[in-house]
Amino acid sequence: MTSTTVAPTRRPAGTSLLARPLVRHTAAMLGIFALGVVAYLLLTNLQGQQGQACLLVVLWTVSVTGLNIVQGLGGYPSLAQASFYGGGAYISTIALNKGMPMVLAAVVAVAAVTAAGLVVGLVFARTRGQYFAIGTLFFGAVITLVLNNAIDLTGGPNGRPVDLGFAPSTTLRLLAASMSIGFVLFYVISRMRLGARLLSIREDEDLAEHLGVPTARTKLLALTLSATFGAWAGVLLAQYNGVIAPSQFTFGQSFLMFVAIGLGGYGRLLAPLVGSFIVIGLPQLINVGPGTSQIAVGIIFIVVTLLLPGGIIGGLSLVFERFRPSRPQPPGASGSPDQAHRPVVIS
Amino acid sequence: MGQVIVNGIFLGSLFAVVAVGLTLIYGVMEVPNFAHSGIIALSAYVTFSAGQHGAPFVLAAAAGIVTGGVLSVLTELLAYRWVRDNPAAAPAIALGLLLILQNTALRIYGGEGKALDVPYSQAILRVGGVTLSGVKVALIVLAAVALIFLSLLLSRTALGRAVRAVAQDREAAAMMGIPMQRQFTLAFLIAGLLGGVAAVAYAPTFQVSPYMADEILLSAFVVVILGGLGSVLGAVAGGLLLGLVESLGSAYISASYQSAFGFVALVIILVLRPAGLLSSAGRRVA
Amino acid sequence: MTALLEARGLVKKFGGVRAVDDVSLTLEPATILGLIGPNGSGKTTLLSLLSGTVEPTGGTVLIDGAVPKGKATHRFVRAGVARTFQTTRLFPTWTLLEALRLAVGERRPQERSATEPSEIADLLGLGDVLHARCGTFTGAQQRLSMIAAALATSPRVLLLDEPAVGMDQAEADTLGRAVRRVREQLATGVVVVDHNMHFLMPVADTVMVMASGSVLASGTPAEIRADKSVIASYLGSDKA
Repeated sequence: MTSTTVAPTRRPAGTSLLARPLVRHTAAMLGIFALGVVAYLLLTNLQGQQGQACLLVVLWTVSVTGLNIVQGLGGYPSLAQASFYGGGAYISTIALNKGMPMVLAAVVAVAAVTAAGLVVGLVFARTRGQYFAIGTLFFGAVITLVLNNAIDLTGGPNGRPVDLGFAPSTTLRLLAASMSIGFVLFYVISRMRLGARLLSIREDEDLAEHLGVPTARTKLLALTLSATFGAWAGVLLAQYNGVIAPSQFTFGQSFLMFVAIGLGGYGRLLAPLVGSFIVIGLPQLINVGPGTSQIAVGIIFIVVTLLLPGGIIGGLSLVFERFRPSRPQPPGASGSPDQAHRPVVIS
Repeated sequence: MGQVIVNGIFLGSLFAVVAVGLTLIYGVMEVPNFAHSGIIALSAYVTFSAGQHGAPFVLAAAAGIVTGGVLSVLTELLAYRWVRDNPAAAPAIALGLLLILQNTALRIYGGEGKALDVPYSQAILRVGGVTLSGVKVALIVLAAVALIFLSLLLSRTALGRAVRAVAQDREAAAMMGIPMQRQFTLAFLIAGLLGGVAAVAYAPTFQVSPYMADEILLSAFVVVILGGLGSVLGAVAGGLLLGLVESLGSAYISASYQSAFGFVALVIILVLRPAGLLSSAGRRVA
Repeated sequence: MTALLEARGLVKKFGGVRAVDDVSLTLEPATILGLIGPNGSGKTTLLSLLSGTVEPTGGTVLIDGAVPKGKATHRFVRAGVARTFQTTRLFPTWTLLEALRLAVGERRPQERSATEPSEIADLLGLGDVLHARCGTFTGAQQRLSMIAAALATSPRVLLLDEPAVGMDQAEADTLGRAVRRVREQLATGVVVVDHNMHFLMPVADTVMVMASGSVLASGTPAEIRADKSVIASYLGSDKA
């Protein structure tokens, strides 16, 4: 036993083609690319309610993919994501209105919100678990206050119109591409050292610290990245929607983004897509009034939290494993089904 | 200045009543009970409905308070109980419950705010240069009565001592043979009743709406962090302190940003003491 | 010459109680220091002070003659101090190899290739379960795997908090051999807290006895066995 360090961690080689890392990574990339193409086709062909639903799902998927880093991989409930989303929307709109070219306005918005995420992280990344939730929640509430009250800039509670920066066709292309690129970034991050560190924090933060993981710095980085994703989604939302208002970015929306991750499955690549579809897409498609659909989302979320710790995707993959022809088990790994965990590969 | 301080005491009493409920629940179960805000809203709606149907105010108020207790216990029975040993899942459950409760209110009563009339709406108290509406006086009195009653319950009865023991150290309390389940239910009952009191007392100064308690809930969480977990006295002191801070900020800086001053307080606390004011770091190793 | 690990006049107060009261000690490479004492005598608190998990009220901890910079525990880890806990177990859904690789990845660059995960697992007799999920381990395997994870950080000082608790004699013997192999092959300095004298006495080079936060006696296992005050206060009353 001297040269096991490069061997794949679990499955003995040869059981399946997908067990080879290169094949697996290539398959994942192709799948992500295909999803982007499908999203683009849906975005350009669907009309009315369906078109609106599809658009919101893609936008939310981009934003929630950011949240999936800090909350999904790291297990830290950030309730500020809608504020980052709103920050991107408002700052890009204001910058555009002041005469900046669109690309510059987008860069300024994303940079400013990323910096804000860094500041929020510096304050709250040293706190543990639920203080973090309360702190980020409060941050979100303050941003809502600002959006409602800084009327000169934001237009107040009724919102403000957005100048056209990107041509509508460009926005749609950017949306589909952003979703795919977001997935690729998440895929890479979750397999880098940052991903392993975050997963270890999610499992047991004290233990992670004792294994040398710089937990505060890791959480800070994760929260900052989540802000970047949220801001960019906000820029696209403003461009597509043509009007933005504080009610799109309240902490109620942050709750729903949190819920989307939990529904899909913490840290799962496609959790943002599955979760956003349930949380924001379905209520648009099945019109039963706002209250009823939210009640349903609440009930589904509690049931999933109680019964499926790996979320819907985790639950599906359990079912899939069960019906697959039996595969050889590595020694000692007979019990404990895979719940919310993918193998960690530290290069 | 006197006016500002009196307003601060009004706000502080309100925060304290809500925060005591949160701190009890957090203390016994490590749950950040975001759903509390939905319970407060539904309690206020029940009082409002009862009044609309001709019930005398005292009866309507009692119905609202009882609603708070019943709903709070229901959240424990139906949801929180099942994540008792998994505090990491608690925020998710709390948010799911909040969605259900607030949207139930939205579904039944609609989104516009409703005014809750009380017999003492018109009363105004003048002492020196300070004026205070009857509604605010009533809230301060109700809050004081509820909190004194609660602290007597916690300090003088066996049941109360058991709740405090669980809030301070769950494992030790379990080893002493205290039945856990009953303490959890009791903590939720007390918190819900206090939420009902807050709802009935606070609604007349504001409006009854599904989201009426959201900002108060946030301030109350700051109070919980300020005053320490499971400490009634800490919650009362922290509530009054935060009430004064928000009232001063609102009077001298900007009224629109009243609850933002609570956020500033939270940031200062957590920068100085990331683990909260009164908890010592490294609990598991001590 | 500076010691590997040195504590000078450590004091830790919780409220009014002095959990650790003016304790000094030194640890050289490739030595094993046993720490015994009745419950509540301050052993675990002392271990927490040495590992940086708890800030001392007074006194200093020096590693290679220097105070580790910053407070956070991971800086102590980087400075070469690792510890295990009584209750913690490794991440249940991870394989042992994954957990060891995480710790290896956090080493200082110059130590990154010091010991391979597989060497560490073999050292502790866990070579066969390297690819198994930590959640499937037996109690004894859990304790050994915690020590393996601590070793994966490439420490020069290893602090073990009651590693033999709940083990039968055969398991404790296996553990004892593993700890001695670690000392011999990696030249690690080890501090062990444990109640199990049958495990601790044969393993330790030096034994320190604590009572009420202070050092009651210190010496070789043979000297400690013969010390009357120790027998009176501890060994006589608590033969675990």
